[in-house]
Amino acid sequence: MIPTLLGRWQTRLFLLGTAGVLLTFGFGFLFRDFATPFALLGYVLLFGFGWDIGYNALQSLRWDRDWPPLFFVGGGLLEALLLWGLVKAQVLWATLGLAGLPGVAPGLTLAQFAAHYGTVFIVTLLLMLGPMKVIFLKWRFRGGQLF
Amino acid sequence: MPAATEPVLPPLFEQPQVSLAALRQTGLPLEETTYLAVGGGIGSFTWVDHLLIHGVDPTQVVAIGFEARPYARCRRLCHNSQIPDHERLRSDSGGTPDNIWGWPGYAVREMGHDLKQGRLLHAARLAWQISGEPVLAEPFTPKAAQVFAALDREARRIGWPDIWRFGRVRAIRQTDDGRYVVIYSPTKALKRRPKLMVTRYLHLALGYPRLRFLPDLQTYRQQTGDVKRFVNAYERHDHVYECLRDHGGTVLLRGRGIVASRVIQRLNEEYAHNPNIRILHLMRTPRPAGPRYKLTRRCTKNHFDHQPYNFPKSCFGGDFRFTMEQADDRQRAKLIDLWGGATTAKRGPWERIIEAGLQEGWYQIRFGRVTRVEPTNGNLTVVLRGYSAWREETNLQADFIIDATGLDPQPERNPLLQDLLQTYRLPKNRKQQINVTNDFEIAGLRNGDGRVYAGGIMTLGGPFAPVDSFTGLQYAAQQSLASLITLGAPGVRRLGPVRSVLQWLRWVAGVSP
Repeated sequence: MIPTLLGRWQTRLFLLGTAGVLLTFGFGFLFRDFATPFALLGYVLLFGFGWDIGYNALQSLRWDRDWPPLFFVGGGLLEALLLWGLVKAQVLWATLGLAGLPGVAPGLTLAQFAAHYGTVFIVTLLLMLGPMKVIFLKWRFRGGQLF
Repeated sequence: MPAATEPVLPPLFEQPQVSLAALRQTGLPLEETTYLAVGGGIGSFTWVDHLLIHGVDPTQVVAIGFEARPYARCRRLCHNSQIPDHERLRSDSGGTPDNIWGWPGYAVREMGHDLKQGRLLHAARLAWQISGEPVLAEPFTPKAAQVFAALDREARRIGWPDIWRFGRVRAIRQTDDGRYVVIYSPTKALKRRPKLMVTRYLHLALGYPRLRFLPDLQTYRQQTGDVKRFVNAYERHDHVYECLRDHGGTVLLRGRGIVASRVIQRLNEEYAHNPNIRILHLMRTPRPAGPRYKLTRRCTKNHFDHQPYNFPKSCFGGDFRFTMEQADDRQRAKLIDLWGGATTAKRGPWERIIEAGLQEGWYQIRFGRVTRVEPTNGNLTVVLRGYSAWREETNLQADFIIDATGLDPQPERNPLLQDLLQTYRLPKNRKQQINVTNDFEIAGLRNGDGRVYAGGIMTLGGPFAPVDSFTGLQYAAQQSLASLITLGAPGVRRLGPVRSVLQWLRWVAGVSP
């Protein structure tokens, strides 16, 4: 699938809203805290809409205007770094008079974050690389757009 | 124009519309079907595959063509243009004419095969290729044999042998009850009584009408009767390589597309046996830089334009696909010229051959246009006119000329299309092909509830750029199916997520749709 901007947004929304939500429920049970993983999922979605604009701009600098799967992986790592950075940006939150990134428990460990984020990212990436084409026949010809 | 001049065609077919009663009075065997695919190649196969997977009863589908295997012509052209079965095509992993979903692609299937054989390293290399292509790795392309074997499997699964029948379609006419009649010769002997087939929905995928024989090649052949020394790369021309291996000699090569690259590779293989082989690569103009589109520019090297496939990848399903669909006729033609043209894939071994050849002198590039080709003392003299402002004439001596400038897409070269163009005065687009809608319908042939759809090169200049690719054939089929669903065509059901997954599972299990 060669993504368009709308396709990136819609596919991100769909995959995080289905597989992402299911997996996050699982991590909620595991961590005995539903608010933090769901808040993180929300941030991935929200910030993702912004990241996608950047990816799309970079994509338009390529003659083939394509986006190899490894670029998705690179993007996923970048997004994780930014999110973890925000979780740990105590100075920023103190300046804003907040205890931390809203909705995220201050005791969240890197291992918990990596396990949750990594699982959601890998599962949604794998779904995007294959099964989505089967579930939605026209999806691959529409740059990832579902409607 | 054989369709109109062959004596046995009933006079009835001189009119654009015929009545069913009149057809019956001809006494010719007449059959009726709901869906008919004319061509019988991979384009027809893809359309039929889509129909059956969308729920159409196979007894309501007929395909007419020359060869039982849908890939027969494709394979022959591949062999002639130096892509034997074990070599790789220029096609995306997800361009799978045997699987309408495009997944699993050929790379994943080859990886699965590798893993079963314990070839872990090769499987890992393929995984890297499909993850990083075309930036971090050379694009994966399937072996010709893999595609053909997959098509054989799918043909068995959908019962293609019962759907396909031999036939040379000679004319198509609208009937007075909103359908179409096809008159075809059911055997190779044209004098046998033709048959009639009436259908509501018709699909045309006739492929390239013929090889491109440039005027100088035609003149040379007419004047000398020699068909051995000056050949088209899509013709069988193994004798050229065999002769070069035994005796050495100079080959003049024309064209700089993917076939030219394959021919150079083959010549290089012969060069390893006989170092007296020389290649003169004739190009019309130098190519110091590729074309620009917005902020990007296509890569060139040694006067070859590089891109993984015949169009930028985005044309197959990204932004550029939308751009093409939304563009008008003039813009579409411009974009096709810009994004397409003669390009080749950037492959390490090919680049190394060119570099070595240029350095060692056995491969050289010349620029100019051929004025004429003359036989001289057992070999050929090619008279060139210099390009641009150079008003020089150059004589090049060669033992063979291989013309790799491609196939001829002009619809008039196909008697059936020529007849349709004349009878129905079908409008053409700026790429000189018959106009199709975004659903790949030939609107000029609409007849009541009846519809005619098309696929393949005859739809170039329409809503999709790479129409003569496997993915393009699938896209065209999918679009026409969407149109049939809207029309409520018999048996065609929407393939929503659940039915799509169930059908895919049947494909995995090898069970008929």
